[in-house]
Amino acid sequence: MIKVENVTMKFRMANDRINSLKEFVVKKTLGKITYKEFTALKNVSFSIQKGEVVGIIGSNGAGKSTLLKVISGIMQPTTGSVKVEGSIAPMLELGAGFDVDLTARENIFLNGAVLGYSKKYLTERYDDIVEFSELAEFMDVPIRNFSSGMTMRLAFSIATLVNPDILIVDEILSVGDGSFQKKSAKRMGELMSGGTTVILVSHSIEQIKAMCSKVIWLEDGLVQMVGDTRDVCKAYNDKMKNDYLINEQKTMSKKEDNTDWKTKLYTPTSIEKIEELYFIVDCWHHRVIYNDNLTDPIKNWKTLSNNIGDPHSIVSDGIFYLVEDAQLNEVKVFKKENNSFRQIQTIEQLGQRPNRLIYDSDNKKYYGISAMSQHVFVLSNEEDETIICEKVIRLGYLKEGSYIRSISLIDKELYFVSGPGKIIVANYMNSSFDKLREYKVPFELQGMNDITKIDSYYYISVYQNGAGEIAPRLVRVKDLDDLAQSKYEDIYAELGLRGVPYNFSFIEDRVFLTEIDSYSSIISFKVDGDKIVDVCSHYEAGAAADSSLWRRNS
Amino acid sequence: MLMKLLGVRNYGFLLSQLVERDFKNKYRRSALGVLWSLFNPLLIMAVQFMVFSTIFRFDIPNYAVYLLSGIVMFNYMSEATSQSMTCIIQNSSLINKVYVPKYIYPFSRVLSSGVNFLFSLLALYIVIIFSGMDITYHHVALLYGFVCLFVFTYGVSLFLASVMVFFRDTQFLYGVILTVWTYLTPIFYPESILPSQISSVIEFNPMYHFIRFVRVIILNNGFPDPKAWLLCAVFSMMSILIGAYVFKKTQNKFIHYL
Repeated sequence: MIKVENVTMKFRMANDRINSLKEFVVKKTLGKITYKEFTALKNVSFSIQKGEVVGIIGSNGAGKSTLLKVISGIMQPTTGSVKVEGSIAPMLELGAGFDVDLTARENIFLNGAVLGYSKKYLTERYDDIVEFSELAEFMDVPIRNFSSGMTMRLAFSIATLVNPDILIVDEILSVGDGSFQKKSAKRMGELMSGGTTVILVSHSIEQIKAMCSKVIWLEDGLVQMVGDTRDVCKAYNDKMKNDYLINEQKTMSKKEDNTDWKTKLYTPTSIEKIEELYFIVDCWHHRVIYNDNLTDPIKNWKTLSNNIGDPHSIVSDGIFYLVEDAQLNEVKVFKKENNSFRQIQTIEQLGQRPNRLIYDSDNKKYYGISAMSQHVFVLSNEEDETIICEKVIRLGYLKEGSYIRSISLIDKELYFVSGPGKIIVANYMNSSFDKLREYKVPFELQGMNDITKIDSYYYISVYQNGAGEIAPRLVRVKDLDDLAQSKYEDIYAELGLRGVPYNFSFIEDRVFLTEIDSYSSIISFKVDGDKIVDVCSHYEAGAAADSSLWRRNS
Repeated sequence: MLMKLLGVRNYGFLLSQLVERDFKNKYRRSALGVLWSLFNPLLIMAVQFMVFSTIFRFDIPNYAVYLLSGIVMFNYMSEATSQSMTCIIQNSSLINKVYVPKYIYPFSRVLSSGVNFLFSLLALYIVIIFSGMDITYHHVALLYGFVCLFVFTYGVSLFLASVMVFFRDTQFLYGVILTVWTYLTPIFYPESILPSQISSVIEFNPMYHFIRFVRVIILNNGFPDPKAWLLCAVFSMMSILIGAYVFKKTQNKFIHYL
């Protein structure tokens, strides 16, 4: 019925419109005419069978209207061909071709003639058109005296009552008052079920879904997708949502004060006290901040660095301060100089996504884990001058392809959590990293973040379940062997958590726990004889603000 | 084949509708309406007759008929071409929305001016009869002259209509050209008063040949010589070929300039 083959439509437009002969001659001789080539349609091919109702979707400027014009023959494609069988009634703009000086009656015949119908046929349909438009008493009134609603009603009646083979509709217009709208929708329905091929352009996906059996999605003049209405609409909606978010973030970043995020935390992965200073690793803001007072608002904190890709932890031996850059796969080494910090070194080749550093003050070594590549690395202080990398190894018992978020030191043993979906304990003192034992964990705890021991309990924070879905939990258990039977105590609610519990740290006599992702916050509590007391919230930032989202992706 | 036949008929109806519209719009709200087509050439003739026959005292037998025949012919050409020149621009809303072969638009203007022409022809015959001149069988040959004029006019119209789309100052330029053309055509003066250099230029004026062809028949009651027949044919063919060529070459670009 309609066959569009490899249609390309190029416009060569002079940059400034030349409408006078003088201008043309002057500019042509001076060689000042510049042309801009614009391709509205690129190699578009598809076919439409008789009786199909086809929707065309795409954002503004995607080429939809140009495509309609090419199909209806108003424009000739630059290359390619369009084959159409049957009469076309284009409703590109209702009432185009009306002459306002002529009466409604005269316009019915003129418009009908323009649409290609014969006098005999129009005479036959005349009464129906008049009746449908409900304008019988105005037939001898010039259109110039019509209201816009009356004009539209007349135009709609002409376009749809002549039973075209192909009806091309650019945006279904809501024509007239409520009752007429109902009538016109019904008429459209009749046409569609009556074998009329309909090509419909609309920005309303709901309308397209309700009416069309097939959808063509155009973007930048290219056919993105042709097919079943549901599939195409879904893909289109997803794309739109995505674009919208990106756009929103862009405008937000422009609109909002860019420093807005600086007053908040977004996924603070860790808080530490090193000597007299408190450090917060503000992971998704890509920075580490510090202050000498825990009660100051965040905006008063000083910045150690705000140029670290997803830092997770900070450790120090009192001389050096080490922070891992999970995006650049390196560890950055800072030194304190006159109340500020200066980066003095970068250690690379530690595997992919270094995710956690710890410092063992007993043997004066740093240990780190690269989450993605399962590398364990050992760093040490060389005469307070530099940090050297002693060892990078990949441990066979850490399942390949797993993601290990953290390592912890508990009772002179190294604990690996998450990744393998179990807890693995290794000997680190001799740097052999031999596996000592492992504990099975149930499905709901498999995406663990951190483990620590306080008094007689092991505390474990959890990000995801075994299927990788975010399912935050905070549990404690006295014997790790009990985990396999899910015999643990869930204390998530008791601590009033709202986000994902992440990292434990100990500052003075309090336990600090960071909360990340959907809800950013830091809490602290005391443990007294295995009883949790004095729960306290610090720096509750909550859900991420737009400027934070933008900062995370920048 | 049937489709093709149907297609032609469809456009015939459209054409008649367009002509009807032009005509209706032209005389909308005028008391005399269509009668103006009759009176207009008569009044112009009356004025020019008085001016030229009293002031310049041209010695032309049946000067009224001489004058009116020239006016009727030339006016048709100038009206039709001026009307056609703007037709593409004026119908831009249609051209942007519906596919209709674009040659229809100048054609409808040439036709609606043609209806006007028929009325002025009526005026011409009234004057012929009042002047007591004979109407002989030679008048049949007028048809040939009119057809040639029509074809010539359509050719010029096609050319102007397409040029106008690209250069809007064509209409002002053409106004000047029309004035010059009027004076270079022996409408109200006899050919004999032209100096020899100018009369050789006149040979290249198509309107001169069309008007002369008609005048020979009406005023002399005879057939024009074979050369006159040929010249009319040549000029009208040239015009239509050039006009159609330019129009065809440029018509697909119209839409980008409307």
